[in-house]
Amino acid sequence: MNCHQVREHLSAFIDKDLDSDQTNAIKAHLIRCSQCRQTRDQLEKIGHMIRQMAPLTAPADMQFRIYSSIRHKVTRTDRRLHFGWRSVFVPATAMIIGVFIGIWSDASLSPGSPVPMITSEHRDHADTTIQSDADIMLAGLLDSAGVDSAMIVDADTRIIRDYNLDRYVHQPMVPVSVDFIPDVGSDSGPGEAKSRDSVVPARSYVLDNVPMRVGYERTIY
Amino acid sequence: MPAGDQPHLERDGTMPISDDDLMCRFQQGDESGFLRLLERYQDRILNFIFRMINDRQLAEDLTQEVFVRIYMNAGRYHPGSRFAPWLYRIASNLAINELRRRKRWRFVTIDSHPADDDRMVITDLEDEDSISPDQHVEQKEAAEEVAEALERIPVKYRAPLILRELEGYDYEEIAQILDVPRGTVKSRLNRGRSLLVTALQRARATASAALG
Repeated sequence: MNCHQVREHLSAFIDKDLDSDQTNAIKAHLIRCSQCRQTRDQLEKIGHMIRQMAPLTAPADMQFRIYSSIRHKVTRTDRRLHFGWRSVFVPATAMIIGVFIGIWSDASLSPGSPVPMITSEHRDHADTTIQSDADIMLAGLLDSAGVDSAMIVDADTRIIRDYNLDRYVHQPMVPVSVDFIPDVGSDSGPGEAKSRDSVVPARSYVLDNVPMRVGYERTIY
Repeated sequence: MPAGDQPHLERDGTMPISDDDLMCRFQQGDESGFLRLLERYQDRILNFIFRMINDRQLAEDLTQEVFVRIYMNAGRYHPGSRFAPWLYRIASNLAINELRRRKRWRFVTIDSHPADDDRMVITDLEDEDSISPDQHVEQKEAAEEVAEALERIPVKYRAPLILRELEGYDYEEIAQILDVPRGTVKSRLNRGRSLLVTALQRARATASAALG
């Protein structure tokens, strides 16, 4: 190989992307050519410099921003009645119930607050298709609200998650604990201004090890 | 091998789950699959886009858009295929589109100051306490030099360089991400490295001349 040929393949040589014949030919050339050796060293150094660039860390609210954007887009999509694989469960009945979840101050979610875990005895009473404690909690949560789907807002990270009864009957989830807290009407929060008839009790949950406090505004059309 | 293909210990200490498994779980309605992928890749995608466009705020916005697209288009993912190249392809397309948009915008704007826009800002330096102040300055200056040089080379050479050097992808994977033949990746990497060396040498020569 001459210098021109070697330099055409130097990058691939550094990346070990050449076959053994080409590799050996370049090695042999580098032994006798100081200029090509210098070029190789420069190319290797530039790679090292790129790898040394300080990495960035995503901001803490990145997940919230992503879920907010998703929520916005999903809502728009649902309004246009474009139901894809991820679409919410559509009740067969004529009554459509919407559920909105509010975020409260976390006064009752102090670390010391007892949060009883759902145990296996709860599982025994559940439908056999339910796979985990989380399923039991969420299925019960949605069922008690009389709805099939809901948004849940993580009180700490503000992440919005979509849940629907159909999904959680069939999909396993991580363990969840649950703790009942006073009705929305007796607490400060967005539900306070709502009619008590349309609001079901707020509860606190620990989902994915994150405390959440949720309540529902039930709108019947 | 890219970090995305390495086994990942989960936060709760459980056995690692492959990207493909997580994506399949998500396709079946398990939200935690998406969340874990998000946790796994958000920093890497942010860094990749940042190195492509050199604008932290915009890189965050585009990173957000990448994962929104993954969420909204999860049905298009084919189980058994590799998740990371698909993810990076979306990120790469968004970054390249942004660069094209920016280029058009600059062309028509009469009061833009490219020199200011192009300033490199390095933030979030890790392990700052483990190096001396002098080393810190040198490291930062070197990083700024490389970042500025990277920005001077055409994006068609920059993208494969970042994917290779920062993300560790091989030629085949880079070809898949950028949707170009493998041979093109090889020639662009070779040309890109040479251009980067030249850009750095010129920058240093200019700096030396300015100092007298």
